[in-house]
Amino acid sequence: MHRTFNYLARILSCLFYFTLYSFSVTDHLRESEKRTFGGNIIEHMGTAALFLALTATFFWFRKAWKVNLPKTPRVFQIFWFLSFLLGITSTNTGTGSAGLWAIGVSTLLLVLTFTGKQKVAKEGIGVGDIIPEFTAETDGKKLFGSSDLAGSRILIKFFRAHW
Amino acid sequence: MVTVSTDTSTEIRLGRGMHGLKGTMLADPKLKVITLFGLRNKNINNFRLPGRPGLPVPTSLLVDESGVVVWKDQADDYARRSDPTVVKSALSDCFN
Repeated sequence: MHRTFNYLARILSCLFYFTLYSFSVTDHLRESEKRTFGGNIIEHMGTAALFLALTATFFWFRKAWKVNLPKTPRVFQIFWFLSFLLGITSTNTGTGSAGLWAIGVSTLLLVLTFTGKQKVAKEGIGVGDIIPEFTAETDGKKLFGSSDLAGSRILIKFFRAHW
Repeated sequence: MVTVSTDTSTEIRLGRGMHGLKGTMLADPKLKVITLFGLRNKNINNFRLPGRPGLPVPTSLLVDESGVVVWKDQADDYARRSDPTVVKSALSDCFN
């Protein structure tokens, strides 16, 4: 718990300093683009952030659908983090809600991927163990138990739910 | 093949066609069977929904005629699943 708070404090302080920094960057960009492009870059920063977040999210879910997710989500997390930073920077300009959407999408996906690890109890069933006796209801509302598996070679799949 | 999930029997019946599964599908919304096998997710992403005390870690087990587990595959991340080719290969290796 102490470690979690420690990490949380570090993240919050980083975000705080980045927000302050992004204000100064935005002001600097606003001035420089006025001189060079006539004021268009910042206007599209939120849209670019949202595009980045949605593109990474699309490819993430496409890989998930194909049961082909990478062993580590680091590359996707980098894209979502970049989108998050761009989103924060764009919100300082007060131009549209795309930046806020980018922050929302990227934050959600970052949380989901950073908290994706699962763990079971140490006494969870393993190779060499005998399966416990159990009974459960089938979709036909009939009782089915471990005794129905006696003498059969069987594949048992545990999954979360239909969603 | 037998599947165990936190769906109710009604949800299984309605959603059976979704994944094309044809085996025996067991309802375990209270996680009684899942707990007996020690497969409850103990991490913070163990979403507790109304009527469901938690979620299992997706796991595949091959069990022989005497009820002994001869192969186990378990993802360490909730977004990952057993690759069908891995399961087929294990079936071939364990049961010829």
